[in-house]
Amino acid sequence: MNLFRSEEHLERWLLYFQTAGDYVMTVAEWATVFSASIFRRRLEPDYLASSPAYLEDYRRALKAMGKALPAPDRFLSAVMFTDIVESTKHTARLGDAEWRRRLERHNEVVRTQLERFGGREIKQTGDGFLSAFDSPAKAIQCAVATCHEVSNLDLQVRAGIHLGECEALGDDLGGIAVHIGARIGALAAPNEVLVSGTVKDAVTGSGIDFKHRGTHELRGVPGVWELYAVAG
Amino acid sequence: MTSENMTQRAFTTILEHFVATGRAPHYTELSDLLGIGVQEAREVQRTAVEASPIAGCWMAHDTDHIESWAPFSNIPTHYLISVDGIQRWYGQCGMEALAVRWLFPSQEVVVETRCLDCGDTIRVRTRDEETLEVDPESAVGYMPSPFARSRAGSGAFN
Repeated sequence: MNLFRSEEHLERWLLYFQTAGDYVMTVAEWATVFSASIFRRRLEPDYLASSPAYLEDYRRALKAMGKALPAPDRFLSAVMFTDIVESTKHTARLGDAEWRRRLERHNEVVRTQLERFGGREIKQTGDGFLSAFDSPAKAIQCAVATCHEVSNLDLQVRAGIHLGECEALGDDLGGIAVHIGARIGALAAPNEVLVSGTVKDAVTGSGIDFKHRGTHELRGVPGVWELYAVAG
Repeated sequence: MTSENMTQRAFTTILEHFVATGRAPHYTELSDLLGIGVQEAREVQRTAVEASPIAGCWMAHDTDHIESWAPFSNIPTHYLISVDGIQRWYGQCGMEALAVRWLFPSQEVVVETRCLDCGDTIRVRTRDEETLEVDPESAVGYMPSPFARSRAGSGAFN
């Protein structure tokens, strides 16, 4: 994201790097686009929770400048968030070196289970993982197995799963479905696999049982959500 | 697990520290600022990175040091930012430099940089909503994709 003295200068630079210039505007126009809420409200106390809505504002600002947005590469995916419970307490209890070893073993366990159930590691999120699956049932099986295997390390994880359309952002995943998955994961109890009603409905007939865990509002996500814990 | 509230507090505190000093707090300083333990602060800054939209914040590779926290950079870039005549800040990139003004209400924010083609100076002067001056007036901005990750490392995009 660079500035040039004129379009002529930019064209020379693009030629040198053999790339294309799809998003080119005058500085004044960019200044208008960068007035969108996502840039303007960074010090608001609920900025992170509001960022999905603010991103839409950014899209609108670009559209208003006549910039056709690239059609996002969207696909249906089950997103799974896992996270170690009370990792800070473990760090204090075990000390940095031992905690690092324990964390590495935890990471190995998660990756082994992802491979076993056909999951794709998207990224690590602090002391957890965001992963994606083609099959929501496989995601549930992976989460259950991960909870079980990690308990052998004297650790507990919580897991949240949602099924929805995601956007490919390079190697990362984006879109509201990912936010929903993260919010559900945060609500899960230790050793619990918590899923959205969408996931529950999608795996009907799989033999997986669920226990209703109530209706919840998920911060920054419209509507109310029925959540279910995997029972067996 | 870091609570959402603590993640938000860490995100805001780091940004406020940038505004006040021109640099990111180290996690040991963040610990003081948030009133939490040092290891918890180290952890929460990572959680805040992951929660930041449009991949706007990141750490230096394989370290616990903040490298960039949009719209600022914690390492010097060619986007020099002055507020009311004092140059203390660096912009993460050319576009984010234009968003710095929202963090300094009612103050004049000047972005000075160099054209990547010819190396000559480009200067943008703003205050709140107003773009007071663009020198030269013909200056343009380019980004490869408005929603892509913009991490450092690609010579073409930095």
